[in-house]
Amino acid sequence: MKIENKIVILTDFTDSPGARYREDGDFSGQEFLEDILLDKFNDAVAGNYILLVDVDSVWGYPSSFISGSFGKLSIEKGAELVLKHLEIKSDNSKTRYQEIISEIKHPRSDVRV
Amino acid sequence: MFGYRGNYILAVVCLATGAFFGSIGMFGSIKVNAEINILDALSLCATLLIAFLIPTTVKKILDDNRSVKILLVEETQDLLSLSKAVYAKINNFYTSEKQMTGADKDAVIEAFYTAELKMDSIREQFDVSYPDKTLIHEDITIALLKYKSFVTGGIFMNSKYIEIDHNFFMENKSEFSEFEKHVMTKVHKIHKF
Repeated sequence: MKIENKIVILTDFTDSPGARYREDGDFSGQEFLEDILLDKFNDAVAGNYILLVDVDSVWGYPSSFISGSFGKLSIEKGAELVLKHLEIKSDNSKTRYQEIISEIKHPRSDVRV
Repeated sequence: MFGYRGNYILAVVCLATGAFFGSIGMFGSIKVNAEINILDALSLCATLLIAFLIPTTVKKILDDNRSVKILLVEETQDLLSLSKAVYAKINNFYTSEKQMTGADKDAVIEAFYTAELKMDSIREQFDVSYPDKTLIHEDITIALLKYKSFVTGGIFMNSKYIEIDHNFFMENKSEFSEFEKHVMTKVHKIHKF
């Protein structure tokens, strides 16, 4: 499978990702998932290609953002499908990459705080 | 055991031994063969060379290993310091009863990003010097992400949460302490390589 579409969080969303839910504040994981990621991911599954998500050049990712976006996507679609159609580009930090992949593989339950 | 006196005793013993063997030679009890066999001479040179090279090489290996370990320990402790800055910041907000702004929270997230970069650096150094010790840095990564998840994975990130409450303050203490314990255990393991 080839990469045929991509999301660059810095330019397509924000340089300062926020919390988990929309009501928690701006640029939440839920906002990213529902407004940007989900549709493009569904297109990637339908078109049988890989969606690249570039997570570089951002100040930092709160764990709640990662859980509210990538984790929630994994809960909804299944880790296997997400890992098949989503590629994370994190040249800045391998630890960040590990955190996102780990969240997709073992998403935390959708607990409201 | 004998302190400075021991040195004097050793010097006297050496002197006495030297004088004894010297006197034997002087009075002709030992005959010295002045002819030199080239093979014996080469053998002596080789022995001296080995006697010099083996301890020197072993010492160099031990010194290099110690330097790498010290460097790794320093890097790991730097990671702890970076995370401690977050811990202290949260403590400070609670004790000073100061309200947090969005910028304060951004600073916490940025501090974690710096810690993640430090973790990347530690991992790369392990890969170069101790490629078979991946479990150590993997464990440190998991511990770091666990502490990060406690701080930035819940209520703290809510924009309406502007004052650190007692529960969060106490949990932060306990979570950081766990993280610190974990990292220090790994520091000891690095020393024991």
